[in-house]
Amino acid sequence: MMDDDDRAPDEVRRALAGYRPPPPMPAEEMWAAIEAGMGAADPHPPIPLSPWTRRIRPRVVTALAASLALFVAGTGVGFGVARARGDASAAERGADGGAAEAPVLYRVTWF
Amino acid sequence: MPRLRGDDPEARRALFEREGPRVWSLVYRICGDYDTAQDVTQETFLAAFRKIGGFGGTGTLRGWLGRIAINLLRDQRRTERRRSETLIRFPTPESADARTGEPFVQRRVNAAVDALGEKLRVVLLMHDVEEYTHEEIAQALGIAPGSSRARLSRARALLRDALADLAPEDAR
Repeated sequence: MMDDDDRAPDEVRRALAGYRPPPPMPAEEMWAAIEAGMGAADPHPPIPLSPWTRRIRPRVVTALAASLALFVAGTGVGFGVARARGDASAAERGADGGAAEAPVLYRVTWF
Repeated sequence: MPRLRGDDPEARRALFEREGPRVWSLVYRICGDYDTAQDVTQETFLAAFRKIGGFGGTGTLRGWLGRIAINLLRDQRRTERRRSETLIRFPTPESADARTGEPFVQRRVNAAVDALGEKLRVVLLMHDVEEYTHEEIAQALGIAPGSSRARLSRARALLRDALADLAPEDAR
């Protein structure tokens, strides 16, 4: 059994070396393009982070921001739904003439 | 490394001269296309020079460059796939011609390597041809070194089976 950390046998290596043998690298042409690219603006510039956020991973910041946005959106929707339900039950109470008013279980008062 | 981080053009050039041919060779062997290999190799070094501060020193510089190159190749392939959904693609004359002039054994080897599938083929080429270590392959492909070993073992076994009839009688 061949140990996979060993080099492959020479005949295998020779045969594999013939698989898509790379043509000579156009080094100068490529280096010129790289230098030109270094001079150009980075198409994906890093987002500047304040020192405390730089210490933690940007992914964590993104995840936290997404969670916060979701929480705010959820709370907003929740308030909207609660208000709509409140309006509907008030309308029902109004239709009953206020005779069958639901018992108040608790009430928040400000002192 | 400090000179590279310090935006030293000579250090950048030295890195390109040292590692460029390896990246070029790997990328060309994986994609088999001159223009793609040129674009991807250039982009690999551009990205590396821009993000050199992000190289934390875990793993090797070679593995890190390999990772950038492989990711760029994947992006390129994704773009190609999207484009091929709208365009009818014809085989490039270069790839067709290159294969017809090859000797029989080499053609058999090429066909066997092509048949391996990308996951196994990339590991085989990186390890047995480009001489990356399993740790560097793991770093480049985002897999565990054990997975790299397993893929290499599987690739070699499949290759042995596919080329069994070419082996000398006493080796079978």
